[in-house]
Amino acid sequence: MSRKTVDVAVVIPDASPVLTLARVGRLDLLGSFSVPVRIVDQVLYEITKPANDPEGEVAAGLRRLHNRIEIIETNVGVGFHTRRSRDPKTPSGNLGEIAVDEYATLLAHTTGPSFVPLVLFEDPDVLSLRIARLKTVHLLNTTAWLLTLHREGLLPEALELVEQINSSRKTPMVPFEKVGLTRKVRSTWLRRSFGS
Amino acid sequence: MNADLKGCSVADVLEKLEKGRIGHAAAMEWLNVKSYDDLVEIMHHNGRLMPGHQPMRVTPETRALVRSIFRPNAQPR
Repeated sequence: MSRKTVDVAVVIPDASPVLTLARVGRLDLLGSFSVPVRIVDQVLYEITKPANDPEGEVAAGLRRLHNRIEIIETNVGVGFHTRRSRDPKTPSGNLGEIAVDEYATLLAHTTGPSFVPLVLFEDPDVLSLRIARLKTVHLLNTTAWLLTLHREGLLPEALELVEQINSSRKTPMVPFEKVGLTRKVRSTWLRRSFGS
Repeated sequence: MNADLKGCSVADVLEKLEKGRIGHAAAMEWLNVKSYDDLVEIMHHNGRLMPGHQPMRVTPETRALVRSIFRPNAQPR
């Protein structure tokens, strides 16, 4: 059986996974990936803005991960910061989603079929963004990722973390996954690539 | 009240419900809960699943992908 080589990058397109991990004190898990973890600049702004991170703990946690997290500069993010430097009251609105769309467009034009963006998300709105429609995208929400880590024996305490996460929510976070597709049907090429 | 539930403990009722021997309406009446959500909550708190519900299935692709990119040695900081 021929084995293909794939490049993987974890893309976090909304603030929630980072804020959730920070709430349960396990932001360090983002540093456990052996592939780049990418966050677009505007999403980083959403994560670290005072409304979401009043004590600056999340920002400090991300700083501790330093080179494990790759911040993707977007025209949307740069434009927002320029406008905000003129007027600090400039609303950020849904610029995070627009910035992620900009990044997804870049990925669509600059990456080949061997690139797998593993999108770690929580906000269901992400499913309507372009990044969720990239051909080889693999979607996981935070609980699905943690459950997989538990099933694989990589993080025995993952179930407790899921319980902790759900205890602070009104409704439990239902695990969600969507496997990367090839042109026609779900294929096993991804699985073969990793030698499972 | 369902005659099968006479003399049962809470644990017995939850077990019967999980195994599909009684319906959720009977269990709700016995437990005196009004909403299905509460019933599910009680089941989960007691380590039981609702009949027909299965733990999340993780696809082999996801398992292989996560296994290949996660280093399990990270410690909490």
